Amino acid sequence: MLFLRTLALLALGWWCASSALAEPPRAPANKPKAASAPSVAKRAAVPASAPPLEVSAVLAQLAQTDALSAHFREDKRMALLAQPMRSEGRLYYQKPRQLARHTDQPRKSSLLLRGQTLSFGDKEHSESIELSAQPALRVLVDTFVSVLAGDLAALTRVADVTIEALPEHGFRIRVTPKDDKVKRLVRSMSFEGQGALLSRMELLDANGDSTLTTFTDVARRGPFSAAEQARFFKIGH
Amino acid sequence: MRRALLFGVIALVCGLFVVRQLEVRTPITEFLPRDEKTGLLELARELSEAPQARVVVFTLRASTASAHHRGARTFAAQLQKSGLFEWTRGGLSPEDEQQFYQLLFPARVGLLSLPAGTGPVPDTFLEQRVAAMKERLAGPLGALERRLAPADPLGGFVSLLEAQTRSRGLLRVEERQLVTADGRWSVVFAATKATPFASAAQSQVEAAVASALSSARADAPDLALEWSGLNRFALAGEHSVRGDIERISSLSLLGIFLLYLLVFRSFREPLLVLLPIAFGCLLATAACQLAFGFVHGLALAFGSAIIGVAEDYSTHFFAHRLAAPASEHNEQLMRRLWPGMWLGGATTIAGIATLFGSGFRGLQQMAMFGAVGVLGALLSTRYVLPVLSRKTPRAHTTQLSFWGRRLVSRIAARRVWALAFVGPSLLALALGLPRVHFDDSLAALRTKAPALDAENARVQQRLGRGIRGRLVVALGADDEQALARSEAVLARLAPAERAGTIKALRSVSTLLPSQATQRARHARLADDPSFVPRLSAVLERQGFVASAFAPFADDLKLPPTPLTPAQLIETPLAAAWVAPFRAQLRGGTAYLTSLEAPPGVDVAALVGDLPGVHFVDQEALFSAAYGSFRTRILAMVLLGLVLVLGTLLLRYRSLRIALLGMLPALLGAAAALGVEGLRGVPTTLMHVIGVLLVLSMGVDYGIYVLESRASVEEGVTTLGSVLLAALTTVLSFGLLGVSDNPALAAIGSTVGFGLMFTVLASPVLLVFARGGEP
Repeated sequence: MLFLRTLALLALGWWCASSALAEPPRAPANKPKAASAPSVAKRAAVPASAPPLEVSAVLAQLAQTDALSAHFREDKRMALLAQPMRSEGRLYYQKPRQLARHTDQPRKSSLLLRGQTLSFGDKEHSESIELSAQPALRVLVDTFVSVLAGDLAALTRVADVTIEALPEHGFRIRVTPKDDKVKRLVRSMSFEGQGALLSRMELLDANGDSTLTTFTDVARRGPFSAAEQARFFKIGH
Repeated sequence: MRRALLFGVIALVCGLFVVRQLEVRTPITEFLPRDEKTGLLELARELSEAPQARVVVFTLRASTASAHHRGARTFAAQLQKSGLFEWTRGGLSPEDEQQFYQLLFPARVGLLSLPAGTGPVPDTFLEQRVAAMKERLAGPLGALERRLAPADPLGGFVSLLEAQTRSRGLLRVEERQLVTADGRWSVVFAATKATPFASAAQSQVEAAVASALSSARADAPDLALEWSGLNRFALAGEHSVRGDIERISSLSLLGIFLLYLLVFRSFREPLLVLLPIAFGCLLATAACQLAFGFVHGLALAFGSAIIGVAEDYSTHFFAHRLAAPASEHNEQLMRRLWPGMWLGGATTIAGIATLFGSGFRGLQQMAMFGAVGVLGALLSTRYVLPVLSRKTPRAHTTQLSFWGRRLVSRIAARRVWALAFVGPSLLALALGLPRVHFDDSLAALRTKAPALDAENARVQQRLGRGIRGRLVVALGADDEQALARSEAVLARLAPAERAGTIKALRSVSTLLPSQATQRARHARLADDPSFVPRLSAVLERQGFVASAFAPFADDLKLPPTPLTPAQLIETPLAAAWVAPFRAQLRGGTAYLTSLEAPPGVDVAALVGDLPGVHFVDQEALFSAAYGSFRTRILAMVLLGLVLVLGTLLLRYRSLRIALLGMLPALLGAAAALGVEGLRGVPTTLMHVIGVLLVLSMGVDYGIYVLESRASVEEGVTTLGSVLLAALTTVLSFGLLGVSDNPALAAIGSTVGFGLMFTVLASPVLLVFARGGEP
């Protein structure tokens, strides 16, 4: 049960990671900072005409987002299923660690991250987990939060990170867990995007299953008002 | 002197026995009636001490959720460490979850709820279960489902998780801690090892709770605790009764001493009067300890009141000693007074002994305490007092005698004066009796504890518990039979819950069916050759790869491994899965189904015909039993009165005199009930017992007066002794009347008022018994 619960929690952590959103690329307001951990942030293979791409620069752009909302679509590919399973819904994110993921299809459910507490459920039932009591889950959540926050040092503490350039100024960050226990469950995660936002995220299970999440209808914005927070950041919608 | 020494030896032996063996307890169950015919009352009585009655609910709050979660965990750990609790539950630990999986997953097929019937399960059922699996794969726990699904496509294990969640009701889990629906309070359940009525053990529990809270505050300094449990009410009742005993016995002894000092103007009489009281109490305590193995707190309190009765005999003796000529020796005087004293004592003992027929062990103990105490006091008065009393009393009675004679003369001369003495009784009787209303509920006898009531209400509200819960008991020779009967109960009640007639239905059968049912469910799938192909077809129709579910088909070929209560009982899961439902009773193993039903719903009619199944509405059962006992005891009182009348007729050979002897007591008892009616106090069984005591003691006074009716001097002396005896009795019973315990208060006020009215009517009795002679 413990390993099953851990698996379940890892899945929740993965869902947390799907709050990075796509948006047309914009020029960064500030010059990207120099990589704080150049030995880890490796240079990726880039097109001959493109400037060299650094993880620290990409993360700094991602970190510019204060709050956002978006539509998500998730496709799970499993050995159990003849066809990928799709689910859809909306995401709300606000710095530093607030995330709400409300699934509309095929069944309504919610997942909520507030600081170190992760809750999930629906209008009738909900459960909460303290991340401090779940090391493996914390690694996954911290990985994702570190990507959003552009905290390369925190990210490299828990994972090996590589980056590669994609066409049209795109990028793909690949994260491989360092912890063997986590690696037995999750092979890797990758985040694709352009400029300050992510547009796709993929998780590869150790058993070969994969989950691909794409983001559309993205609205970047300033912090949510108190009324909006009360409406969006709750279990059940 | 030799007799006095003999009494001294008896007192010494009793004293040593009491000092070494005395055990005071206050189980309310001793006041719960028994009924050997249907066994229902016995069952209800047993349930009052069953493990479910030992469950205590703690709610804890702090400024932040994390703080009260942390505090609750420490609190629960400390409680468990105290060794006073059978189990505690505030949420499942990772180890518990591991055990949950290991125990339940292999038994998942047998634990899966299948559609009604015995044939192959329909395709529609398979479609629904596979669709549900698909939904779960897409949900927040999709990764968990991904691992489980190949061996459990019908979701048997997940259904158990869901049933477990439903069994929590409104409670949720945050950070592995049970919390209220609003998340503001952490919740910890625990069950004490001792019954709620074991006051010494429950005092330790209360101390352990305080200590655990103190430890938890190291983690969460602002942690606040509110808790609820039958043990708290039992302990509060015990403290209240104990306080009353101390207050009543001390004050009444002091009062009697001072009153005697005032009347006799000497220390010897006040000290000597305590002798029969002490002897009676000692003898009664030893007798109860010997007969019952412990002394009930209420019997002890009742014994404190007996003090007032026990000194009647010495008062009667001393009052006559004052008036008797110096030439009459104490022994001669006692022999003269003894017939009346003995007759009075015998009627009192007979009256108190009536309680033996109640069927309530608590009342039987009270009866033994009272009867033995009065007998001891009576005999020690007879054989010890004459030896130790002074021959010439110091006090002068001239003034008292003068006023007494004058009073009797006035009434004899103008009988309308009698109205002044019986008028108040008649007025109370006429105005109050029509307002008397009976309340036979158990609650009417419970010590009032408003603060505890309010705290209990708040805790219950947080748990989402509303109207009074009811219990259906499925009793079996063993777990298997009891579980099978519990399933039958659930099958009957589930439709009523779906229809909204009842709610909050909680049954072990949703979590743990009998082994026979588990095997039957397994066989229904495994023995159906069409099952696996049909399931594969359904899986493929819903987009699954059927071959990925081979582990399930393989497991079906293995013999079933039903889950048993024995497997669960030794695990932490027992606190959630077995303990709330299972009780080991004398009649066998019982599984309880709890539900909430409005008063109009006849739950008994829904399950009454099932073998081994009993609907137990404890409140209604006990109330009905109290009502029936009240009626029975009233009938016994009437019968007792007839017997007393017969005895008086034998003694006085005159119906008029015999009736006159009983009249003050009858008036007093009826008027006391009238006063309770006027006060708006509902009349309970204890008032009826009070009436019994008024009649028992009041008839004594009547007998004393009748015995001395030949001489006005003697009569007036007797009136004085009756007044003094009544004053001391009223003093002790009056103090009972202000007790926080409604049972003691009812007896106290009835006896207090009753004897006041009785003594007021006594001069009239004297005048009329003398045939109007002054």
